[in-house]
Parts: sequence; structure tokens; C-alpha cells
Amino acid sequence: MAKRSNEPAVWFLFGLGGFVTAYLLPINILLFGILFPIGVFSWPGYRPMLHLLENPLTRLYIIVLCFFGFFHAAHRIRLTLNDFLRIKHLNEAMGYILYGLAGLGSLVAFYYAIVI
Amino acid sequence: MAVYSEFEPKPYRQQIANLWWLERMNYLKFILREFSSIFVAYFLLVTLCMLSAMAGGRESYLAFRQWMASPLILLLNVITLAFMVFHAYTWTLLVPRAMLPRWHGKALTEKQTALPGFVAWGLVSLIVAIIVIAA
Repeated sequence: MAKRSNEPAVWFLFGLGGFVTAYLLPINILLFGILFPIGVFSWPGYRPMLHLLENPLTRLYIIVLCFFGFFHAAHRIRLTLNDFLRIKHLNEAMGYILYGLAGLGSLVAFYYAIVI
Repeated sequence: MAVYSEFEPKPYRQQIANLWWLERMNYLKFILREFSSIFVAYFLLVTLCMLSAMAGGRESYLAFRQWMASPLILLLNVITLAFMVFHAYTWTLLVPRAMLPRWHGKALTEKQTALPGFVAWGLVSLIVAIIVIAA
């Protein structure tokens, strides 16, 4: 039997991550990255933000955003390094490193989503 | 990798230039689209920083707000937003590549198929914006 590749599993995470990233990240960046720091709208206060973060729906939002987003980014970075820098021979090592980092990021996000 | 003796016929393998992505506009657009992934990772790390600042108490949250207003981070955020809009635009335009639905027997064009995706993107963004600003 031919050796099966792990590609479909990570591609699935990449796909969902692309969807989540495309729909949820732009408004996040617009608000938290640009409009709030510039002052177009005022930052949410500490207590309202905490109240928002304690909601289980927001916890789920954070987990979904970070888990699928990190794996989307890791998969794309791995493929781009293959195409861009032509390092196909390092594919497996880059896979372990990048997906490991993505898993680490997701664990941290999971931790904060539960603890706050 | 196969090892060929001196005059043995071997298949033709085209050499790919190192700057192949500069040869055509479509190649450049592809590389830019893929490059957006680094900025995705950057902003997800910023989100993790925000969560850790929230977990640290009011002072760390205020310090985080100050940090977000620093010019370098603002510049990176603007670049990230540009890349993210590009990513969302190209991602939604992939929907017609997956399927071409029919309405009353007539096939919809690619733009008509992608339109609900854009509408959904706008709605989700609006809902998130309302929830965050009203907090």
C-alpha cells in the first residue's frame, strides 16, 4: 500500500482557517488595530471588555479564530517557503516546526480563552 | 532522484528562475496572496498579546492600549488590513471555482456566485463591530 500523506488533514485546517481569517480578521484589525488606537472610536473599558470576554460565545470565537488562523498561516507559510525560497528538501522539517508553532499558539489562545 | 548514464535519454526538466514570481502580474498577485499569511500570524500574535494584557489586570490593559498606538505597530496594522482585505476578496472569489450554481436552469455568472459571500462578509463584520463598539 502506498504511503499516505498527511496533506489532506492540514489542508482542511488551512481551508477553514482561510474562511475564518477572511471573514473575522479584517474587522478585528480595523477596530483593534486602527480605529481604536487612532481614537475614531473609544477603546472599550476594562470592565466592559472583561464582561465581553467572559461570555462563552466570545471564548469560542477566540478559540476558533486563533486555532484555525494559526494553522492557516502555518500551512501557507510552509507552502510559500517551498515556492519562494525553493527549499522543498526541508519540507518535512519546516512542517514540524511551523505546525508545532501553530499548535503552541493555539494552546496559548485556548488557555486564555478558558482562564479569563 | 534517478541517476542517468552519460548518453541515456532523460526527460526534459525546465529550469525555474529564482525570481519566477516577478515574471508575470498573476504570479506576483499569487505570491502577495500567500505572503499575507505572515501578517495573519502577526495579528493573531497581537490578539494573544491583548488577551494576556486583559488577563494581567487594568494596568497591563492600559499599557497594551498605549503600545497599540505606537507608530510602528499602527503601520504594521495598516499593512495587515490591506493584506487581509486582499485575502478576503480573493478567498470569496474562489467560491465560483468550487461550484457554479444554477437558478431556474440558468447558470449564474462568477460575480453573481461570489456576491452572497461578500454580503455575508459585510454582515459578519458589521455584527462584530456593533458588539465590540457597544461594549
